[in-house]
Amino acid sequence: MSKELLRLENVSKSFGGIRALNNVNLIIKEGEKLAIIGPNGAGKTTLFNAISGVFDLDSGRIFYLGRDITKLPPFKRKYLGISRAFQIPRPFAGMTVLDNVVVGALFSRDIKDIKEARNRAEEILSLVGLHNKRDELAVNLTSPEKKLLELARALAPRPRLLLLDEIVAGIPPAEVDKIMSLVVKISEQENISVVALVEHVMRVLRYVERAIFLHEGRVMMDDTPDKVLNSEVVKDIYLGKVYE
Amino acid sequence: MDIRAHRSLIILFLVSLTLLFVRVGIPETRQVLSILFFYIALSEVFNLFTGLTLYVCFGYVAFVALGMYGGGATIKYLLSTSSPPPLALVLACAFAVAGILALILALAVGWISVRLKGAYFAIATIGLNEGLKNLIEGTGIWGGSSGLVIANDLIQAYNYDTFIFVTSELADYLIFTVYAVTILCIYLVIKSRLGYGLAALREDEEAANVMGVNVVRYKLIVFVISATLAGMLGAGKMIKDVAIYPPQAFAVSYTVEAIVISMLGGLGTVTGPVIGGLIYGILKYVLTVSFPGLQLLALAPALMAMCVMFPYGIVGWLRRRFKGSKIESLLI
Amino acid sequence: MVTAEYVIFVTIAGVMLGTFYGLATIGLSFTFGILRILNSGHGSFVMIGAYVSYWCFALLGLSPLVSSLLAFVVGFFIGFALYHGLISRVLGGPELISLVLMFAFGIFLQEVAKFSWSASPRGFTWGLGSVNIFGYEYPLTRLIGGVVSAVIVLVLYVFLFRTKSGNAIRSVVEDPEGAALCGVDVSRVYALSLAIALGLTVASGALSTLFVSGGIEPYMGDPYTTRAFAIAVLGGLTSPFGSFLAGLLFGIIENISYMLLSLANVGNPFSMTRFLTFAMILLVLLIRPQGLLKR
Repeated sequence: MSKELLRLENVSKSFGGIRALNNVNLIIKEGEKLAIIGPNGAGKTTLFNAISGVFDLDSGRIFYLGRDITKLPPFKRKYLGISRAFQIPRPFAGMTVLDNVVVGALFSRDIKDIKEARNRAEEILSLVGLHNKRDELAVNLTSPEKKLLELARALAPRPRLLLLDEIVAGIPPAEVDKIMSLVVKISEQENISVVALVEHVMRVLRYVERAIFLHEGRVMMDDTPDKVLNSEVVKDIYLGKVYE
Repeated sequence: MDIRAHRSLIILFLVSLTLLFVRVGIPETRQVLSILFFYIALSEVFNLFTGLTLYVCFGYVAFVALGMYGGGATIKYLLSTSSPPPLALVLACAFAVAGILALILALAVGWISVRLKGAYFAIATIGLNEGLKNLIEGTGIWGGSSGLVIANDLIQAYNYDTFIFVTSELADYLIFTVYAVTILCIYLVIKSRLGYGLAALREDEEAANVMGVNVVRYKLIVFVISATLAGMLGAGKMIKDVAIYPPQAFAVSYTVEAIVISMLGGLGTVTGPVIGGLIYGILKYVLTVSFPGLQLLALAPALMAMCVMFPYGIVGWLRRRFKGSKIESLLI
Repeated sequence: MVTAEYVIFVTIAGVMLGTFYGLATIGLSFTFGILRILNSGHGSFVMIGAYVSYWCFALLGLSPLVSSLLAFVVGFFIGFALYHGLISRVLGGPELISLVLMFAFGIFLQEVAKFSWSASPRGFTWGLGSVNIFGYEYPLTRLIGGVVSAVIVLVLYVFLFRTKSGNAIRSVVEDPEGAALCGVDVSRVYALSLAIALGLTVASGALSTLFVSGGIEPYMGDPYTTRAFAIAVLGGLTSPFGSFLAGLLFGIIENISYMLLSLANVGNPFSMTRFLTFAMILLVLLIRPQGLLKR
């Protein structure tokens, strides 16, 4: 029986009259892998932002490992183990690849000092295949390499919850498989729950056990990927917008 | 402890000590090196905050002046009794009071300002000089517009020879000590977790925040440390000058010179202000001899040119040019 | 003797002073709102305006009203030169660079003034007599200063909302990329904005001589910098008209502060008011960094 990792209770958020999140209830358990899907404007990114702590909620609460984190600032949540890889990578351009990952590792409850952070950074970079570039300045990396760096930075602090924000958007299918297998392998090794935000690349759903369909800020479906993708509701809304 | 790992700091210490010995050994250099020590120390203190966070604190002069007033007032008070305490104790108290006053002011102002974005932070700190100056002139505390003079107090409490020794020799050693403590602080910060956080903050504050860096707390920590050191530097300067008058104490030239030296040498580096200070000191000496009173007129355009063309400074440029080599690791 | 008439008089005087302060601050908000650059050398431009007014009066016998136009032109050209020469090169870079640059330029102006005209304070009086308000004498020059300031701000408003260039400027504030896509020459807008901003600031410096007849010296700008910052923070650093309103409010507060401090006899009222200005900046930044007047 897995422990409950993250719980959203009646979470709502509006932006100037538009309800981005409408009474969202969600429970994520330890070690789960799931995808959040939905059309443009469904509220996926807002959901991630709510979990990250980027803004205050209009209503509702968020619990992490039983603790109410609704009011905690983003850096604290990261410290506790909620890590996020952003859609548009924002590495520290003037720092080396290694240092970028060290920063990710250093500010975590599980990692005690710079030496440990360094070792962890090297370990992660090897896992994602960027170890040979570790002394390069982040600004000099290619686009796919920057995505890998983003992933490495997010994995470095030994998180419990990993939020992948459109990590594989705009990448050829072979690369998608490569990255997603990597994510699955590492998350199983280190017992990380993974939530992947997906708008178009449905291939990702092959790698998760659960899919949540978000539409207009509401959770419309929460089931296995097969059931969700084949449901009438999803087909109606997504018709013509899905591609493999 | 691994000595080799810290060799760059040790080399810097040795170079600095050499300068100190030159000053002691060659009396002709005393005047120049004395002023130089102060400017290098001020620039290092300035650099500790602005170099590591890239936030401009225009209010350094206020902290130094506060240290001067606090230290001076302490000395005056302690020497006003019929049997004055030993000199060492008086000076120690002066430094302590100066540091504490600066620390309190830094906490008060810093707690409000470090939450703010760059421009707002600049606004909060630019007003600091004016604010403190007007407070002193307006309320008349610590001598108000007439200033604070402790020369007579010192001469009467101790003899004249001691007075000369304290103001012309000891003061410089004390200022050197503040400098040494400052570069040690910068070095320790750079090599620590705080240093990593600040490096990330410099690159991209928002991203750093998301990555787990408590940006507000880190900015506040370096702000308070550097302000406290500035206050102590002020105490040292007071002991040297034995007098302070509001117009000179709050002169904007200090701010400009600290910025020039730091940028010339290289913001965020430990060796930068030393190299910048040496070059600037020599230039200033030459300029003062040939064109007295015109330093700022020449400095301001030089600073503008540096902003546009040479923002990394000498050490900064060298480090980028020789990235990954021994030179980079030596020029911390 | 604090009567109701006195308080009203002080308030009216504050309003006149306030419109002038508002004008003196609009340039700051303009620059920050459009170019996202804080003019850390703001006061020096006011100082230049004061000197323009002085020399126009001393050499040509022109009144500050006329010389304020010339002052605007001077500021306008400095703005253009500054933009193309220096600012355009540091626009996208770290804030620190532009802050230090403007600070250094302000110092440069101070030193040039000191070198050219010495540090001895100068002044002149454009004696026009006074007006009687509620039984108290109020210099006519100040009344004129306040009215003229308000008029200039009105002209600015018309320019921003009714002319093509003005609309271009406003579009760049809203959305620089969108504006560029619509064919707006963003670089030209920046240059024009800086020119206008500095022109207004220098012009306000010329008008300052209507309020204070002496004390024109190279370092007179520093209190203006602090004051402008206080007003801008109060009214919203990015909103020129917010700053104007905040200036009005500030003029009233400052005058009342002088009055109260003189009565309470707590040290020098001018120095204390300046100190309180700084304290107020911190207070506003603590409570509402976006400014009290902004929605």
